[in-house]
Amino acid sequence: MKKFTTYKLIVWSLLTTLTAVVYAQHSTLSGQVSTSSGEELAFATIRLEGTTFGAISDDNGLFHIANIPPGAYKVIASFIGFPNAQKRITLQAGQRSTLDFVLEESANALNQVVVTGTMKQVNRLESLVPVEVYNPVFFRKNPTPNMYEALQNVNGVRPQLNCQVCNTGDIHINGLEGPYTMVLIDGMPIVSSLATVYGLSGIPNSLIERMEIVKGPASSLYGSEAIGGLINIITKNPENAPVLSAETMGTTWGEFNADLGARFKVGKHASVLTGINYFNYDQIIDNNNDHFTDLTIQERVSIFQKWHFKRKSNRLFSLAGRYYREDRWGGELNWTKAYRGGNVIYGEAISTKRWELLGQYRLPTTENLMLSVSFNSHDQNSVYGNVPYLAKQKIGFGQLTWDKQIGKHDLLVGSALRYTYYDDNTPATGGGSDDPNNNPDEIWLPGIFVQNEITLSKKHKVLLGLRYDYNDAHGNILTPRFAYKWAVSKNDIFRLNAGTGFRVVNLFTEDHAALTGAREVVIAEKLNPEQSYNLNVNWLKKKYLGNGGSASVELSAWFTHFTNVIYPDYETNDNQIIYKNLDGSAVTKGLSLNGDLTLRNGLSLLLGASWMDVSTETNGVRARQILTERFAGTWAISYRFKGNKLTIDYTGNVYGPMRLPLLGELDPRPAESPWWSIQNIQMTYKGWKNFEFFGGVKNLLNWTPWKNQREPIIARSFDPFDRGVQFDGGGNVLATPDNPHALTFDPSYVYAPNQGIRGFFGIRYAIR
Amino acid sequence: MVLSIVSTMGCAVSTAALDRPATLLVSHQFSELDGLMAKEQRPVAVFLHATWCNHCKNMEQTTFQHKKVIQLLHEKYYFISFDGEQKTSVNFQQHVFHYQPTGRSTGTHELAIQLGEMDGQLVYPTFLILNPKYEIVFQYNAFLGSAALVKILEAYLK
Repeated sequence: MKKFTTYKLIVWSLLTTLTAVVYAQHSTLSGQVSTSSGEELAFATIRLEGTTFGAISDDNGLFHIANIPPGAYKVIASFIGFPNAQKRITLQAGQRSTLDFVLEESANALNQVVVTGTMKQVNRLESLVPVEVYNPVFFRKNPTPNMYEALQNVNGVRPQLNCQVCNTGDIHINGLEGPYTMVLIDGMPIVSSLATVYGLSGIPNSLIERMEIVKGPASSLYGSEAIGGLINIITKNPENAPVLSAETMGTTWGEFNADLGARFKVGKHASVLTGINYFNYDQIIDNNNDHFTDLTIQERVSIFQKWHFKRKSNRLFSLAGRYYREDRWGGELNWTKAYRGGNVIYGEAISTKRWELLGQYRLPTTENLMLSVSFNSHDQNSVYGNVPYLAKQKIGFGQLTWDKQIGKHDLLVGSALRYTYYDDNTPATGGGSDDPNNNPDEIWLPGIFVQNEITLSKKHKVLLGLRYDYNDAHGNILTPRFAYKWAVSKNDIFRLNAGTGFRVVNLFTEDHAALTGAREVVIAEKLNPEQSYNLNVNWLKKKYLGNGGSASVELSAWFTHFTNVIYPDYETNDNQIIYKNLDGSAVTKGLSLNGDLTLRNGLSLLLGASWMDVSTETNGVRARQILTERFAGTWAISYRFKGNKLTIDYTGNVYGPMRLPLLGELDPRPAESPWWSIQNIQMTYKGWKNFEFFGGVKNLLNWTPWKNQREPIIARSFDPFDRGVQFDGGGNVLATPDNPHALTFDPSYVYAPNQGIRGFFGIRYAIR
Repeated sequence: MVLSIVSTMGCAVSTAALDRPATLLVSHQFSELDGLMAKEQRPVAVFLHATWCNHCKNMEQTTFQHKKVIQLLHEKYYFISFDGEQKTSVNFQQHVFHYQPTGRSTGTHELAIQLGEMDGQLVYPTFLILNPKYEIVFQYNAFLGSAALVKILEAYLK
């Protein structure tokens, strides 16, 4: 290996023929080569005309030529694509001389056609299922403290805020909630229904090579749950990651975020990527004057480490771990820790400890047998007003797969085992751990699956998959999957994906609305698994323009029909959230359109629009799902100025009206949200050493939900413990002179963040 | 001699067969180089790409379809299109280079790192020229249009 590496020192043949004749009084010549725009030029050739003396400039454009006999020389500096530069110099015996060169960037030289190699825009793999590839540059267009928020820039993917006071949320893909989405790190699954809430932070942007997103079901490999989609975070190859990287960002609201990334080697065979993320927000801001915090006070530390072991067999062995610690609280402005869990001053405080361990190992057999394991432990200690919620969840997952290629058949056979442990202090698990009736939930879910990807011809590919899982409570679960890809032409691809889905629900870990203290949670009956069948159709057309430009259009349609789904029912009783099996059916269907255009002049455009309809039908009555928009749009428009140093990004989202949860007929708050849009602008400068500076304005339009609404977002925020509310014998709220609209304290009417316009500034630094 | 078509390399779907360019660019293999050099010494042009890389696909369909580029690569160079994430090992210069997995379906070929790494990182696409002694004389890791590539290929020959 070493031997070959030396070739990288790029030595022209003329140098290799140098004969080392030693003179007594020789002189040396050194200097620097740069371009007319001031950039140091590596790999330029410096020759002394008519001699065999010469050198190649290093990464900083520096060169050094020793042992030159005294005399007058013509020195020529050249680099491919640049006109040569010449200088004359007379070297005295024993003297060290310096000579710098500037190579002119001529009108039609290379730089004109540069489309930065790292600017890998959205691409779509030519795989059987449509995979969207996003690189870190994309997420930097609207920098966010974590990947969770960054996903707002992706069409069809929406980070949904579920809690007005505590500001937690999950990722919705094509209208399906977070637990339907699987998060993976380098293909290693984080098996957890909370993965989209917590699995997306802690890995610094600088350590991410790219992110692959599948909207809709992918394959049998990922289980019967992942019908919403797949988010695969691909970390950098340790050989390629920056040795050290740092990023800090702050906003005028006082949010502060810092990321640190490093890579190093341990011994000869292990390389390690480490990332640390710290986020802090501690300003109590109440712009809407509801006496509640507009943005939850948060402090978060997350540490990520990935070990990659190089084996003699060149087979995969990697381990990754993450630790996550977070404290947050929101509530009345004068809340302090002393009031935690009490009924004097209202606050929602959540303290989370979570760790994850992931591993992947290819067995030392000739056959391709891969073992994947994943463990995670989640510990939440929280209070919602005076309602404590103490929950522990542990998940263990192991999977063994066998990949085999036989002719046109690409077979994947595997078995998986999942263990879920869940305990909390609510009646769902028989009370707290000290309660004699305590009965933690334990679920074993063993499964086997077979998948065959058949290449029928150059244009046609088919995937057949079948998965069988066994659940203690629900018995046998069979989920088939079918996928088909037709390459109409090389830039015209049609895909279809159909199958069934199955998922056992754990309400508490998924639905924070269940925890807002304000409403009583009622589990009306034994909850059955959610079952569904789905169909996704996708068409992609690409067009490559010369000189680096490209354009693509993608159209997708999806349809998911649930024969059973567990939805929270806010409407039967204003004071309750009722969970029960659906007596009817639920449908999520929609269309999405993505377009992107990259031009050689530095302009790139990404536009996305989604139309969707999420509804449930019970007893022949169809109702729209609350808090789900019918239309969503997203865009990112970027322009890179000449010289590649300055970039401007304009990003934004627009959402159509959502149906909102009201507290009965007298509730004065609008039943639908208005059209709303969040827009951001950013400038990035990367012309100085290893630094990159970025800054801009978020929420340019200064849009907030409360600004456009006379009635407070949080109902009766002045009376969070419902002291002034009178109930009738059936538990229904009575309209009284003090409470004419028959409301209770209700923070579940939330559809958009409370934060208005704010500035941000940040610095990135990387040593390669 | 084993020849393969540039645009089929690394793609799940053979794309060359779908559209028919005027001339097909022929790609050699690293293992063939010694034999070729014994017959005629020529510089080697290497195109490093990845299946998921948009600019690579773009170059395959625009730059490498250009008549003059094909002509130069055919007549003056030995051209190799190399998928930086290909799984087959390559024997080159008495050394066997392997695919190094870093995840379930991710990884990098050692040869791609050796050839393409610039400033501590490997970025796709990378285009490079090796002299007949297999020393790297040119590396460029961004999109190259046909006009620029012709300029580079001609500049080196001068």
